[in-house]
Amino acid sequence: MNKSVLLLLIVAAAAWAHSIVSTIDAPDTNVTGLAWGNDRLWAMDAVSDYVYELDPATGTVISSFYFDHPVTVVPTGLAYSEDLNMVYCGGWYNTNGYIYKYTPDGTVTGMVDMCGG
Amino acid sequence: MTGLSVYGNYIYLGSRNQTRTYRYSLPNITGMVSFTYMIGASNSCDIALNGADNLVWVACDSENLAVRCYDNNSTMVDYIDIGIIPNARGLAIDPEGFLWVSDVDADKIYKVDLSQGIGDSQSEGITMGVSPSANPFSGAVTIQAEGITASVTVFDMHGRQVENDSFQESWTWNSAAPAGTYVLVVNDGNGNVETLNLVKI
Repeated sequence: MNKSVLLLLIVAAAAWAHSIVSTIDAPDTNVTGLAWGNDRLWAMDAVSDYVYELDPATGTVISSFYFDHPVTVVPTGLAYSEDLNMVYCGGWYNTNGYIYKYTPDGTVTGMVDMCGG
Repeated sequence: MTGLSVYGNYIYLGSRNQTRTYRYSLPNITGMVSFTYMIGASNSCDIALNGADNLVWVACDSENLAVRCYDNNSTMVDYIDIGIIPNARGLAIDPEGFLWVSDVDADKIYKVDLSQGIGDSQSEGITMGVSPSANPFSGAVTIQAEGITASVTVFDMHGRQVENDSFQESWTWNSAAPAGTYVLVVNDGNGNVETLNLVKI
């Protein structure tokens, strides 16, 4: 067996075999953003517009805040910076993207227009 | 823009319109750098970055490969099919390397072990018994599954769809595709999905 075939076999065998090890109930019905921060799972819902802080072991809601955005903007994508202690909520409208900055307690500190980026 | 992820001093943005991810510096979200091209991920949603390995996971709605993973050479190096997670939207990676995925059909959030294997193929629902005539194969390969009527889709290592056809108990793939590893997805449309990693030599 030549080296290229062996490499292909190794790649095929090594990849793409995963399993779900635990499941929690989502805090809402349309979670379109998840993030990890400070040992918590954060979830953002596109219909209720809430961001939830969750206990990842149980799914229990520890806190939540309302993601305030224009009605045309669809919430999707969530990130958390532990260094800056900041939650970043993504919004999508047509071809434009927006990042809204929140503190973990739900205080908005700014918005960046990503101009479709 | 439909996906966000932070790793270190950077925020990564997934662009559904451009099928790309971009990297910006924090805290001001400036200094855009193109990071990877998510080839084939035409309906991208949230992203999660495995910064240690420079890998981007992306959720894709309405696609057989519901969650895809790309390296920063724009090659799809991993995936989770809709048989495992039917309707993925939100993604995150925790410090231990587990991938968290929200499913808007089931209203669940799943914790996925990316290192734990369940075999060379994945299946969910009824086992369809999909098997290739040979693997690795050269030239053509015939895929068989007794009594199964389904769709069959083949993706290359970049995540591009290279074949899409109907499947009735057997299907022969005889293409001019180059040697390489391919992902074959058989989906009966009733929640039963089975995938195979095929190696063409």
